[in-house]
Amino acid sequence: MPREHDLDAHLQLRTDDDLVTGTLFIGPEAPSSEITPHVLAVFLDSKGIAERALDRAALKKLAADAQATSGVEVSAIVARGRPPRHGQPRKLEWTAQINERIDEIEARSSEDTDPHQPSSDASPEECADQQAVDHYGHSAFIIVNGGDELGTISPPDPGEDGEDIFGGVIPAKQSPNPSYIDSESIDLTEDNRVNARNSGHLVYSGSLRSVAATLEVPGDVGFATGNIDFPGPVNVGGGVKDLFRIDATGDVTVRRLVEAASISSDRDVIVERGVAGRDTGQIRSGRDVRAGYVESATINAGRDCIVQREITNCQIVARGSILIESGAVRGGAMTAGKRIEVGVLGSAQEVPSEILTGSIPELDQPLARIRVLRERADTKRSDLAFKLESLRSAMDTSNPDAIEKTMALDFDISEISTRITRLDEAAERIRVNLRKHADAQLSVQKRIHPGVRILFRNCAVRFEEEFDGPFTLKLDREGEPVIDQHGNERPAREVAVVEPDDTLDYLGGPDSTHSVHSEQPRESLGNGLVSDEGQQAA
Amino acid sequence: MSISDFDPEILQDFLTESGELLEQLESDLVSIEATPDDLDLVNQIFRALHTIKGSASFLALTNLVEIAHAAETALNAARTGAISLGPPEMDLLLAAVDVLKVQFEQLGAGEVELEKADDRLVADLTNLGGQSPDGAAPHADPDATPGTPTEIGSDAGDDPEADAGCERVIELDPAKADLVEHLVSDVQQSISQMQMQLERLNDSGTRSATGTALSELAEDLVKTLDFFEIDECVRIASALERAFEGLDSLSEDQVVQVRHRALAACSVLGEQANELSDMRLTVRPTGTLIERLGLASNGDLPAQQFLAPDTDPRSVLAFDGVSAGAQGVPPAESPASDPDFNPPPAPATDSPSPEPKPELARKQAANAKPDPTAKRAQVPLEQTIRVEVGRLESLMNLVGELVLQKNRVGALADEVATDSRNADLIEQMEVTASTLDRVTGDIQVAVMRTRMQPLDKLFGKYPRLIRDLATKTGKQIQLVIEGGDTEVDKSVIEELGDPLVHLLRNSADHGIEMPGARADAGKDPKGTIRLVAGHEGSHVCLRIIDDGKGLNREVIGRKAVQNGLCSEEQLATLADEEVFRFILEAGFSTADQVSDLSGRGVGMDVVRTNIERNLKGSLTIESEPGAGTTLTITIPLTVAIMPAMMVAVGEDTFAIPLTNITEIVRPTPDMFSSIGDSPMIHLRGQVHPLMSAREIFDLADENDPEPFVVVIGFNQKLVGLRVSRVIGQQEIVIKPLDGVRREGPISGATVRNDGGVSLIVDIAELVRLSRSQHNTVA
Amino acid sequence: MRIMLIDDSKTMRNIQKSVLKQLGYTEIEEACDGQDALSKVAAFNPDLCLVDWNMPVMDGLTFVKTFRQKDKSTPLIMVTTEAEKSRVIEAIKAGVNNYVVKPFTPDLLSERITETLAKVSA
Repeated sequence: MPREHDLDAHLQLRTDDDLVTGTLFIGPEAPSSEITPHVLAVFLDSKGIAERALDRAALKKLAADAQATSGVEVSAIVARGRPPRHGQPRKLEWTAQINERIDEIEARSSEDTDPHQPSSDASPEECADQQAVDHYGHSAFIIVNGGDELGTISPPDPGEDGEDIFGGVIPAKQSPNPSYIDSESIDLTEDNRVNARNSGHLVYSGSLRSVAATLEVPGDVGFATGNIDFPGPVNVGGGVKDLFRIDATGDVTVRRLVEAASISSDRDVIVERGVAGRDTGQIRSGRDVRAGYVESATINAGRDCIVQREITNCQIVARGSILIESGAVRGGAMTAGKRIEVGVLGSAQEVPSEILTGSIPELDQPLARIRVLRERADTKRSDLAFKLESLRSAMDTSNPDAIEKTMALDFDISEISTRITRLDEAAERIRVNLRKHADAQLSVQKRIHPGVRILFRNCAVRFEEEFDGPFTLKLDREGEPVIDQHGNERPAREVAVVEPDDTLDYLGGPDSTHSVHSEQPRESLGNGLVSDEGQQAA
Repeated sequence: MSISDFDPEILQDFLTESGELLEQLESDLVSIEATPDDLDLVNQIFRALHTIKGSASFLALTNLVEIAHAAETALNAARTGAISLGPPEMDLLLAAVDVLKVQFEQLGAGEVELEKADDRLVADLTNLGGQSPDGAAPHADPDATPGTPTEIGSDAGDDPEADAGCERVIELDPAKADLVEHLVSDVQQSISQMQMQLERLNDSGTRSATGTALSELAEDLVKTLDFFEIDECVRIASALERAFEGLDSLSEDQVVQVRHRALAACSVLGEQANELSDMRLTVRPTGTLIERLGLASNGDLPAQQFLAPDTDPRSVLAFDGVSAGAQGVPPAESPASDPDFNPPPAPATDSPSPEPKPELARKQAANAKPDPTAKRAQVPLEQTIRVEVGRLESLMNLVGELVLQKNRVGALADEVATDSRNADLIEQMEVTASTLDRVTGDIQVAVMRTRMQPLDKLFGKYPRLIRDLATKTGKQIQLVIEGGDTEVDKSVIEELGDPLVHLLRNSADHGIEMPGARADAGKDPKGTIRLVAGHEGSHVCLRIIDDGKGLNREVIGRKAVQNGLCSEEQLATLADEEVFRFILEAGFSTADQVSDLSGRGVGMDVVRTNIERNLKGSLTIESEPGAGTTLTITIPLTVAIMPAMMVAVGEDTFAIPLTNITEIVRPTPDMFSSIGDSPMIHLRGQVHPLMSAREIFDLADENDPEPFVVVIGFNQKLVGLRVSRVIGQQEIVIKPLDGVRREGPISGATVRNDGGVSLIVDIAELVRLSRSQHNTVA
Repeated sequence: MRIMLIDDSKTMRNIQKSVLKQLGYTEIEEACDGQDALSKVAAFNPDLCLVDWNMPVMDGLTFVKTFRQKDKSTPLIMVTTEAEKSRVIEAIKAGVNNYVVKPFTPDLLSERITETLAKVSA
């Protein structure tokens, strides 16, 4: 019918891009009397709208609207398809604890972390305040241990296809994994738990979720990172700022400057640029310490200490050797279990420097303590022996008191003798270890200046004038210091002053000048007996 | 109680120890027959019997104890001089030993019920003990009459009595020695108090109080003496303590008897206390006194042992058999000249003291000083431990291995010496090798020594053997043994036993003539067989020398021809020695009648095989008609390791025992000759059979010449053995070729320095082979 | 092994205690005189007593005599001085098993103890 055709001219169907909705427009000129839901439905059908997509209620209302009004265009959504549900990847949900830490770290990084001086920032009162933030203690890293639970994982959702208003399928989209989980360091259990496989720092942002065994600090260790306490190796791309601390079980490598900070590692510590310790910087290593230069710092190396350019005003203790190959040592004190090799020793200004070679403080200190105890015990024993002797010479064998006194003295003497024997045994064990691990020798490549005192086990050598190298200063079989130049040995006293010295024998005493060494050794090469004896004496 | 109740170990110990004692006993008994006056020996025999009896009574072996006790009683009489040991007495004693032996065998076989000795034998022996030459009981010991059972086992286990009369040195630790002075005065004080109290015993009114006082005194004495561990005195003091407990219930008469014995005991203790101050103590036979003191205090003392009221303690001591020793004289003085010494009168009889007694006492006293038992108290005994033979065997095997390795090191040292240019290394290696060599040698000797035992172990049985033989054949034979202390390896002892028995029987049976025949020949009617042993270099030689009729060449020769061992013609060419050797061949017996002694058991050929094969020894015979025969057995000290010369033919090497090599020569052609087809070699004017190792051992290397001749001596016969090479001398460890059939004269195998195996040439077999070759050809 | 030390001197007891500890005996009771010891033996039930001779209140010999009336077997070692040596026999009769003379070395005391215990257990 033409009328019907006419009506069609007033009707228009518009869809959205996804074909999920169809909106019917009824023109203002449309003959409202002819508009019935049925007519509209027929129209929509002619357009190919699927029966089940039709919203009959909307159609009815639209028709009513059109009838009620004229001269205005009316429209309504009359057909609805079903949008697809897109697929979801598996999702890692951190534990509450980790989430808390993440929030904390993010909150902090969003603050202005301008490195204001901590001294001005935190007065003691403020520190006591709970609101105060310890910027040193708050690490910027989430450190986890192997086996720690990190969170749970939700399984992936494949999604569901949708249907457009014409009955066509709208395929569900598979969204890509937003993050990749490193199965090397993170363990996904069958019951969807997530555990750390190894200790390290948690990488929780970016596209990779992992527990990195090596802590990579791209910039400085400072207010942005906080102190670092890490169960593995640490690589610092920048430097280590004043008063910050790195404590790691693996190698610690720092590319730039270490300031008045503290670094401790069970393995090597490598500072590519150098250490400017400002008298408080400390480095402790279980193995080697390597640095470009070291200034005003304390270094304690389990093995060697290798410095390329110079050592200035440092306290260095190395159980192995100290090697500054071609560089210079000025001021401070150095103690090495084995040889010390240096380019220039001392300075033209005759800065006092002390070199102690062939000594291992962890052994020499107990040895010195034993020596003191032994001397005391000896004195006591001879006192008692003298008393006993005088008592005996005047003794009346029938006097039970006198007999008892002699027996008590005898008993005390034998107790002391036993103790002396034990001290001697302990000392001998330490000496054996010293012989095994210590080797006194100082090699100077270029020059030694006056002001340097070189201590050996029983003597000190000091040069009153500059003396050019290369030469090696060591002890001969008799324990006398000798100078070896190109294989020619001669007594050191020909060119230097050799004085008796028993510094080593009394190391670690209360008035020791080597107080810097008296830090408690992490691992004693001596034996438990020694400290027992020390306590007894105290 | 049955044997099964005993710890088998205890029983085994008993069997071992007492078994040894029994063997010793037997040989000693035979010796005593020849020297009945040897009191040391009588004492020794008595002690052995006593010990056996003591252990047996501990094990409750009643039947064994009975016969041992009877024999001991008889011996005791001999010991005290009451009887002398003539042949009839010896027969009885030996019969007793036989019974003991049977009982031991039964024990060893685990039998519970031991054979009971013939009652007659027990009675006879006991009678011997009760007899005395003049009819008087010298010790007035009525208790020792036959059939009185009370004494059986009464002093069993009371070992110190076996050493009665000897003096021991008291050893105390310094702290106690320090107090001895106080001890002595305390003991003396206690004793004098005790004696005082004992005197008061007669007063029946105060007897109860006296008894209590005595008990307390005795108890304190026991405590004190026990503290010082002077067991001899403790025994007496304890006996006193016990005796004083029951005084109340005794009659007057009985109290008197207790008092007698108690006073006597006090006097013994007093004397001992005196000795103690010098730290010495004489061991006294106080067993009887203690026993009778006990009996008296129980009121059980037999009336015969009652003593007259006025008997003094000395007489009591004599009566109870203590005084012989109780008179112990200080060693510094000559005991025989002690004027104080008077034998106490025998209280039960009025007859004067019998003649033999003082003599005997003197003898005992005179013997006291050199008495080996007395010496034992001062010289520490050699310390010994029992080691299982198996352990020694394995030690010996290990030493064998060590010797092999030592040889190997030696060889390596030689190699190093030729190969290396490092003179230092060579020298060190050589020094080390030679040290190792020496040490190994020492170890070998030391280990061998652990297995060494004296031949006496074996010889001990023979006097009895000869004695029995003599008795049965009616001959008079004495066996003289020399060198019984020669030590040889245990295995040698074991292997040597049977052959020696056989050879001795042979000598006694066939060698020694009847007394009449000997007298007719102008010889002592009593024949002598000497068994002589001794070391000769690395060998042990045993000779059995009889002074009998000697071997008869004619008779043996005739028999040999009859048996087809040689022809009449050959016989004529043989030396006497060679003819005599025929008796060692199988089935050869010249006795017209096989006697039931030497004829039974093994034949001479078995003897020879035993000696040659098992002991690697040799047996030679020398004889002179009418004058006697000497059989010589020569055996190496040990059979496990020996020095040898290593020789080679082609690729095979052989070891020839070095002791059998007299020389090694490289003969010139003119030294070779032959008799018939048999090759011979001339050596310094003598011709000896020559054999080729290649032929004997059937070796293939036809082309390897044999330029060397090893001259081997065996049984005074020389044989040459041609070999290709002589490698050198080496200690070899013999590994038996068990289960391997021997091809040719081979006695075993050994491992060489280079690890290879060499065969050991059986010298005896080789020499025999040469002879048969020679004989058949000739 | 329970051992009682009966001595009026603390020093002596300490010395004895140290010797006993070296020998591995740790159950030790101390008494300062014979009377004190008698009051403690029932509860402690010692396996060995070391008894000083000279003590106030009740001396060692009296203690031994009293103790032995009830207990015949527990080993007693008397600690004496040279002065009392002549009376040791008296102590032995009273029932001591061994004795040691002051001054003694720890070795000697330990030897005496071992020896006494060995003899008693034999």
